Amino acid sequence: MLNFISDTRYLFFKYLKLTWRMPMWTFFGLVQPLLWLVIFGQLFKGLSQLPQFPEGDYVQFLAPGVIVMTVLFGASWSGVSLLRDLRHGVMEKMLVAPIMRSSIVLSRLLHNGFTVVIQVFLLIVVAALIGAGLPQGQGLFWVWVVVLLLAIGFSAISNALAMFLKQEEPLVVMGNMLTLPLLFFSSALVPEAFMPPWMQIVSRANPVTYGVEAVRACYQGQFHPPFWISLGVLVSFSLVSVMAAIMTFQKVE
Amino acid sequence: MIRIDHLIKEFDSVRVVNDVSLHVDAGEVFGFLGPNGAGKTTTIKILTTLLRPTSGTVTVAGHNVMDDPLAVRMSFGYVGQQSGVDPALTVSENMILQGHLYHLPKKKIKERMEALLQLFDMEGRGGQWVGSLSGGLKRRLDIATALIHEPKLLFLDEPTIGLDPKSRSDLWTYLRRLNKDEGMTLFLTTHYLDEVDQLANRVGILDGGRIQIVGTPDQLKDSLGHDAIHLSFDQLVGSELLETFRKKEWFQEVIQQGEGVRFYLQNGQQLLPKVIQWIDTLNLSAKSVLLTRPTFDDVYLKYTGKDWALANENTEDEWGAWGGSKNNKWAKKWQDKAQSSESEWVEGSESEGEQDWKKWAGQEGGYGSEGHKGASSGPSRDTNQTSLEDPSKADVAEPVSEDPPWKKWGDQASTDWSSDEKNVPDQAPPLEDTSPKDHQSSEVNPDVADPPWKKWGDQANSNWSAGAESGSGKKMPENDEPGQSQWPNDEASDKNQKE
Repeated sequence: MLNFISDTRYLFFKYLKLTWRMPMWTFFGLVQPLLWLVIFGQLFKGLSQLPQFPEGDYVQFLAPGVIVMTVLFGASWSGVSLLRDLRHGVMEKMLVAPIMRSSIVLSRLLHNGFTVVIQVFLLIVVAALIGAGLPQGQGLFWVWVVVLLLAIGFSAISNALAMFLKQEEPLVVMGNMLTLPLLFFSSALVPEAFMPPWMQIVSRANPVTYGVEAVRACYQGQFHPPFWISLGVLVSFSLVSVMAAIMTFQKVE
Repeated sequence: MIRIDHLIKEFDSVRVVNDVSLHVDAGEVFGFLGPNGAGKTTTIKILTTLLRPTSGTVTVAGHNVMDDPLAVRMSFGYVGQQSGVDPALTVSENMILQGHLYHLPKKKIKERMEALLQLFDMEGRGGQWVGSLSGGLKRRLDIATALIHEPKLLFLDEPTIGLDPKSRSDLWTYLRRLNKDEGMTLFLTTHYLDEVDQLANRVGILDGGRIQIVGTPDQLKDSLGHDAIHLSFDQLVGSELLETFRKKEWFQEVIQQGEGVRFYLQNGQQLLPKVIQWIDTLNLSAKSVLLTRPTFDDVYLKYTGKDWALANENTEDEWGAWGGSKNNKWAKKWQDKAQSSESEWVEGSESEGEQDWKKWAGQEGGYGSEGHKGASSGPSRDTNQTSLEDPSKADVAEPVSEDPPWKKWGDQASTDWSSDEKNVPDQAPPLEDTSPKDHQSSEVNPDVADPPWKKWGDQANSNWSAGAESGSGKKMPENDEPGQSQWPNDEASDKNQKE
């Protein structure tokens, strides 16, 4: 167990070092969500004038959506760096080392969660500056939990897919095919009331919906049962996908 | 050090490794040789616990790979086909990380790192980026990194692939040093025959998932006989003749290789003249003769039945591996389809081209006959008429005319067609079928000043005119005016007209 923790820690720091050494890449990773916030904020501004719209200002409504979107997009590419490890033979070297497969997986997921958390931190600051406000009360704490759970869950799926597909092109296609529908079948960009009933039903099976609702609750400072339900769903979602990722790594033919 | 007993590995019920038994002692350098897909890498992956055996027992350094994979992993170093060191880290960062992954204390890692960098002549490179290292240095670092935990056994999967000759022989020196000075057991797979020859104490040749033979390099070579005679012939030698060769008491082994035959025998120098005489009595004549010692190439040829160069052409397809058998089936289907349609297409295009060609010839026949008519009615009118009515003739009359419409036709025409016309001006084809007639026309109309088609007729290609004639034969009746009959000698057109 001690080895497990130290292995995970060393690998986590290794990945962190790699990210740190690609400052340009990290910079674009940070800038991209800000662009989303500005572009979507302008594009859908008029929506808030509609009678059914819950919030007074669209940016206030959108900020939690863009936070979840950043997590979703950021996490869904984490499998690509696994392919890099595979291509360079680094993965093979890790697999023949006397370490547990789960520590390889976990170090990758933690690293991804960490980078997403930093992105989201910047995003929250900028969103506050353009009038989206800040998470209220204990929301300042819970918002990180929600983001971390989502990030780990989705990067686990991406890593599992990468390990299964072993090729970049299909992984990119799959990533695109999953992220956009997940986003549109949630209340990230438009209120749930705007969706046709069948979409509302589908969105109930979408972890992104729960993420958006939980972040929105943090912003509104409303920690009622719906928030705890969302949190519960997110916890089980990330647990299941982490288990799945570990299983694909442990699968030895 | 390594004990493999009756190892079988199946992927989707395809046997990749088929009943392999092999023992490697401590301190040995064992070379595993075989073509792609022979099962080398699969075997090494089972030994390194990356794959599980389907059946059979495998023990590495006293630990069973199934029961105690962690202990097995602790006991060996592994250098894979790809580099395995992270290019975005420095040399020392890579080694330190590797040390941590093998749970060494920090002090120990530092000691080992210094010792290994020294051993591989890489002192002072600790701070260098791995991405900036040359291929040879990277490979050295690979091996150094794999040895951080002082294993007694090192697996190398095609260690010198992609290295230049100098780096390769350098690497061999380091590997030899590891074996001699540190007493390390090396287990390497390779494509390169000379690598095995240079390094290995013992060699196993693997083909089709089975071990074909195991022995020292010299044993393997001697198993073929002391000498080898390579004879090459003008044509492929039939199986009956090969049987005759094999029955001859001189030869220990006869192997066919393309148009050549290799004979292995004990006393090559004395037997060579006799062999050549004997070959002559069989009504064969050898193109070239070579007397050598059997090389590893010969050994390989014998035990895998494959020529070295040919065997290496089939490289593994990653995509195929990814898609699995289903994908391969699809790929095969598509390939078959593509092939059949290709052949169809070729046939189709040929016949189409031929038709085109005939059509053109027919049309040209029309022009040609018109030309005759013009010629018969006088040179002045001829030029006049041609320039007005028939662009082909206009161009013939004035070879430098700037807009030749048949340039267009030339593009449409099949390629054989245009290649036939090398020595003919590009406007000539339309008029070529006049060639059989032109001497007649000049006879009939001796007053014609300079019949241009005479020139064309001289230049005409006989193939061409034949084809054109048959084409014109079909089309002439429709195209020609009654005036055509003024050439009674022209049998073809005459006959057509009668019909």
